[in-house]
Amino acid sequence: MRIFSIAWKDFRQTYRNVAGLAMMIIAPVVLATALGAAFGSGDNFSISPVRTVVVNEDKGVAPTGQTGSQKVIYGDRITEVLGSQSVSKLLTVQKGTTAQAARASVNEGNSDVAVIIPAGFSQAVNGRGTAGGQVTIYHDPSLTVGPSIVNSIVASVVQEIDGARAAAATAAQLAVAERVTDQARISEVANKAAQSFVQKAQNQAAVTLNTRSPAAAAVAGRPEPNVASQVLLGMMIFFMFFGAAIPARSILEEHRIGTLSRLFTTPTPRSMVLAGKYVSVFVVVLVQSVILLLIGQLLMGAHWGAIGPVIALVLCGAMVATSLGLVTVSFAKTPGQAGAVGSAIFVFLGLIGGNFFGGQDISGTFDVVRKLTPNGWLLQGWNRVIFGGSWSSMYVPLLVSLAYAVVLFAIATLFFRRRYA
Amino acid sequence: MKRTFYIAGKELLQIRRDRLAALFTIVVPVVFTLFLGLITGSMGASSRLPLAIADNDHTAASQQLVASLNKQQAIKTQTMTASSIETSVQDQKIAGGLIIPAGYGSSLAGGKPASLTLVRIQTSSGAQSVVETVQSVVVQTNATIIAASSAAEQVSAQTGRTADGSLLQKATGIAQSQVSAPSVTVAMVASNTNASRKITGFEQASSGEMLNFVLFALLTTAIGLVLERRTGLIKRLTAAGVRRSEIFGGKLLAMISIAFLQQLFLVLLGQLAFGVNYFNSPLALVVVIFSTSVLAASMGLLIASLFKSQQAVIATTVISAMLLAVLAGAWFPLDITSVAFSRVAHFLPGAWVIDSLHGIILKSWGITEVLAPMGFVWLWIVLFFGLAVWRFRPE
Repeated sequence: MRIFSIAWKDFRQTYRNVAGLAMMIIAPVVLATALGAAFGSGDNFSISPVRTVVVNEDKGVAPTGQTGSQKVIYGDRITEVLGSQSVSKLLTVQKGTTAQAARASVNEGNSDVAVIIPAGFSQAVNGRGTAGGQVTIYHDPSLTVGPSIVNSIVASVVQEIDGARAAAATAAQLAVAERVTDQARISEVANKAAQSFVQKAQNQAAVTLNTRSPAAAAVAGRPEPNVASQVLLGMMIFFMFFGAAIPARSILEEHRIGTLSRLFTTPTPRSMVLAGKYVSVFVVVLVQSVILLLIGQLLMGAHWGAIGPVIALVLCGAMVATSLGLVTVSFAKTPGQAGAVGSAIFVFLGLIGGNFFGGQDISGTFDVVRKLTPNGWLLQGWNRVIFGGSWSSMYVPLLVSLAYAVVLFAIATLFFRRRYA
Repeated sequence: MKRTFYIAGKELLQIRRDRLAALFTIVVPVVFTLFLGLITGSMGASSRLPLAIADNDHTAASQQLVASLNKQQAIKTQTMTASSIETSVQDQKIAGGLIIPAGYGSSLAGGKPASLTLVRIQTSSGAQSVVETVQSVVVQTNATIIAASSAAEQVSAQTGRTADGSLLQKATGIAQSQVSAPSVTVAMVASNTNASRKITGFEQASSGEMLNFVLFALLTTAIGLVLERRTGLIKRLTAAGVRRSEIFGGKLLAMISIAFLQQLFLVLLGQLAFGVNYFNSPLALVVVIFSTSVLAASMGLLIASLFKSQQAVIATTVISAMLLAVLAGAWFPLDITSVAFSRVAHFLPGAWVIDSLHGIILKSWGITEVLAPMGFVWLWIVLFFGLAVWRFRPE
């Protein structure tokens, strides 16, 4: 009972501290809201249109074997697609006069990207020279997405144009293989194959790629978690460390002002006093995580997943945060030292554990490094739960983070026993 | 004026003796820069994303598709059943799973469209890269199929030979070699470099973390101000004849100096250790980091003037620093964020600081280019400074 009296006093003290509440509740919610606003909900997300200037210097080429007929200008197909309605939300396109002026427009920050189609482009398509075979995407290097968007649009048109060339070349070679020797007939078959390619490519793709979510999530009818809720999880775990450190520091504070020594003179055993402190830290972070999860559900439209795994993760997270909070305090001599060193440790763990980036990266160095931290494992468990992962996929993250909690708790207890027992 | 320098000197001495202040002023920003620079660099370079393939067709066409996917550098393929793909994607053991349906090859042979299914988690960044890679292979496959069928049809019409499987097969073989050796290509060239170039991990991390931690560097002085006010030290100073403006000026000068020195250190580190080209325009750089230092100092003083407890100052500084960084594009480039977010961010000063630093590093901006963004930053400085002066009380 005395354990709970001590815990209750610390719990009330923590939750009456406005600055502490700001760190525990307001900071994670504000940051998750800001990051949620940055990346939208996935289905209604749109970035600023890319300011694009197009210069088409292509002089065209007469169709193969038809020197007198009207020139084909393949570069026009690129400008046509860039100016089409289908990409109007992605790009704002302006026609440029010269390549030099277009480059200057990007250099001066008036455009993000310049698409420069060289004079010999059509010649290169028809295999009559290679000098003009390269369309240049001249871009502002500080931009990451916009130039890639323009590049993928232009590349798909160029691939279509080159496909027509490939069709013509294929038809010509095939005709020769079928013993057609008349050059005019070969040219005719090649031109018709190229025209047929353009028509077919525009009408319907032979192979289409459909993307969808895993069937288990779709069957259950669960919407995919939005960005804000994913960010909130990272922020929740990160700020739970700070939440645990606030009541944990009260041990040092009470030691400094003498109330801890006074407590030790009472018939209450020292272990019970420390246990009361431990319980208060655990309850403070447990309540903090429940409040944050409720805020996420009610205000951010988060869907946390099956209740069983969620409870397991909340309890596990509270244990990890409690143990870590107690360890950082157990080494320190003053509350100020505990605050500064603890903050540095938490920030470092948050950084390498992936709390600032969300949990969605599956491979690479980062995935290895994050597994060295308890919060990295907790985040992995949470990500599996919110995406509808099975219990079996959560055992490892839960057990590893629990093991971290036990080891950290043992270290903290050892140091506190040395100091106070 | 002399007293202002004395007060600033005392603050700087205090910080120099405080090892914990060095932790957040120097150590943590360096660790963050190093880690983020390495991580964002390695994400794009070395990691191959796992893609599982369930080939339910087992025809030459499906095997050709799998062979094309195996050649892609961005992905690492593995074989899996369709049902295992569902659970493995769900549990995030793989970045995506491609299901080739039975009848894929016969549909294509019969001139009918075929569709592939890619299972992925929509919000996963790894999955986005996998979708792009598979899509590029699909585009190439389409080009080959259409080129082959167009050629076979025309040759058949011209020679009178039946457009049967063998003719189409022959055409496909030729079309594959033609499509894989394109005569026209697309090249990306970054402005001012005449080479393919994108912002690197260290260029983003170095400038971003400089802004992220500039407010943290001022915590010691801000907390000191709160403590001095609470213990009556500032009141005692005013009683001794030191003017309010001298106390305020001393604190401000100390904060500007700390922030400037911190940024100078991080600039040198970025330039010399991480190859970030800050020295493209030293004068523009000095203008930017000086303006950022004054901005941070004004914000720090405002926070210290508004709150009465240490904890409140720490909490507000941490939240403000993180928000300033998020809204400035210090954690991620603003051009990948939503339209509204990007616009709101440019109403705040941080985004203009980052824009200017990126301009200097990547576009060789000089003094004339940074003047306009810094002018906007100074509007905020005036606002923060005015509020700080208004709220500053010695008691």
